Amino acid sequence: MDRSSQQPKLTPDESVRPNRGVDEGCENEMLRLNVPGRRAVQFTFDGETINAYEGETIAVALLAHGQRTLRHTDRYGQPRGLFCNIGVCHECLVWIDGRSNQRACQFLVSDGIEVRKEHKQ
Amino acid sequence: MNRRQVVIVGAGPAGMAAAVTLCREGVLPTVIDENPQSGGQIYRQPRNASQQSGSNEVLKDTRGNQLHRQFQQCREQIEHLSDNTVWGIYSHRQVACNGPDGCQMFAADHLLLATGAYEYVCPFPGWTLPGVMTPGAAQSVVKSHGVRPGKTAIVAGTGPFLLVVALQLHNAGVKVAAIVETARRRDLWRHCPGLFWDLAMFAEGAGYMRRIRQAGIPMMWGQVVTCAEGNDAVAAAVVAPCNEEGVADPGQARTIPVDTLCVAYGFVPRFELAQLAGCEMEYREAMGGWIPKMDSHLATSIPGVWVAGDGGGVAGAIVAQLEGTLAGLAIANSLGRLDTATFQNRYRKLSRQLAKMHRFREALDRVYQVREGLTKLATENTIVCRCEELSCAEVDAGIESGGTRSRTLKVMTRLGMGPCQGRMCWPAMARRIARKTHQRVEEVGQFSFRPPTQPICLGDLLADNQTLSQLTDRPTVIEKSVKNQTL
Repeated sequence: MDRSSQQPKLTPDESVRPNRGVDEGCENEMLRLNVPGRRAVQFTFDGETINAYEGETIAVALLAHGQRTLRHTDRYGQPRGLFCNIGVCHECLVWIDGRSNQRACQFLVSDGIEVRKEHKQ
Repeated sequence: MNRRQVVIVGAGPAGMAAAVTLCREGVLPTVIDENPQSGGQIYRQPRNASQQSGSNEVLKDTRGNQLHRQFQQCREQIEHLSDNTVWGIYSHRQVACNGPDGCQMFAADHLLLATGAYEYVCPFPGWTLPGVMTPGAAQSVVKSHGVRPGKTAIVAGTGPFLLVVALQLHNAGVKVAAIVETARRRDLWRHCPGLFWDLAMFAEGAGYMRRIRQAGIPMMWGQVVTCAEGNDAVAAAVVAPCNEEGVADPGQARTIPVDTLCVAYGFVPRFELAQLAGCEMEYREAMGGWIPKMDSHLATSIPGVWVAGDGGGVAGAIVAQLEGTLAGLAIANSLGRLDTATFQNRYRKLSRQLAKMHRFREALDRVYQVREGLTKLATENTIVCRCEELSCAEVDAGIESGGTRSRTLKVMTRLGMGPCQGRMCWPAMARRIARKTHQRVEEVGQFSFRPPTQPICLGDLLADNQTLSQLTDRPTVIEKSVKNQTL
């Protein structure tokens, strides 16, 4: 699948400044650099609607949204989040569209996907 | 069965260089890579022209541009399967992968493993908190996605990579509270002469140091992050000076508030596929741990299986690219596409370059060595196996009751039995066992991988009868209800 056209684009001047402007309505713009020309997408995380941009992974979109906890552990219920971001540590495993153990750091966002920390019947 | 002449796993510098080299010799390779775009972790794709020519020095990354261009030029000849995870290697170089089109299996005449490396993190109290991540993770969040991982960060660990990441975070608008480097400044002076083997690299490093200073980022030499504090996410890092062995002095610790803590102590080769392919392995501390045994042409002990880049010993992108080229030439030579005289000629040139890089690296390794004392950072309650949630005390108890080898300890405690299959915990735990039982790390043994090396959906596997029939000779009965479960 060719996804090269969907990659985020940074403009030189804006890439160094925190983006305080409104850009297609992402809530936590404090953490996003201004990257114009991207298509906004929406997905849900535990039922909450998350605005993101095409080309972002689920883990990054959630991080930009301020959602750092991606799952709670089985044994002690500890929060865990993005750790290695290259698909090695498996800390970011989430449910995506009813499929278990998907790596949020490797999975690209798309419109309407349903992401959950835990499985709901 | 899909047969292919050459399958390359990984599209980082080594895999790309090998693919380009093969194309030039008239061999059409198949490249399988987990990421949406080629470049691997280090040569992440440049985004657009304006960024490349922009005023921002660090987010503008021209390294690897030439290789990207060459790879693009050959794209007609290369079968590039991006977004595809290789999860198993079976006998006769059969490669099982899983991607958007489901599971596929290829039988390769030649298999080049260019799997790269991942960052080594020593367990310390609080390292499982969200907001603690590897410097590489923070870098890719900024570079690939234009998202700041947080507002205030500390970049800690050891190695020149910390400087690169700190500067990139700074330029993206993250406040970098400090770079915490375990090596002491005097280590740098002592081994400075060895760094002159590669003046260009030396100058690059010096340039980074200067820009760190100009950016006003405090550089803390000879210090170590001993603890991450916070309830639901990291809120502060405890930093203390350490001695030559890396043992921290808690008396002089201080707390720095941060919302992002990036920690790594170098890199570990990703050798899982080489192990599954049956390659003979050896332990080389300076290379990052277990690596496949290779001859001077990068052939492993299994005929037709080759290894290039950090997966065969951590040495960085430039060496990886040279090795990729070398492996490509060697494969072309063994396919009869390149005559031996030409091959030998080009091989000699490449190996001279590699030898020069090697001497530079040896000096760098001595400055930024992984220090013994780091294994002492974990306290009794520190989770050391992130997947199975084992505390240091539980693992220590396992070691004391006879789990002094990798296999026995795994069976006794479940250490490394989670989805990461020991990638994260094992490098640190092998050192811990070795220290506690007075063995050498290689005596503790490798941790063994099982396919699938990454979780895959049973449904994907079931959908591909061809792959399934390769894997089992018995009729497989799997209930529909487990189709969405992952192995």
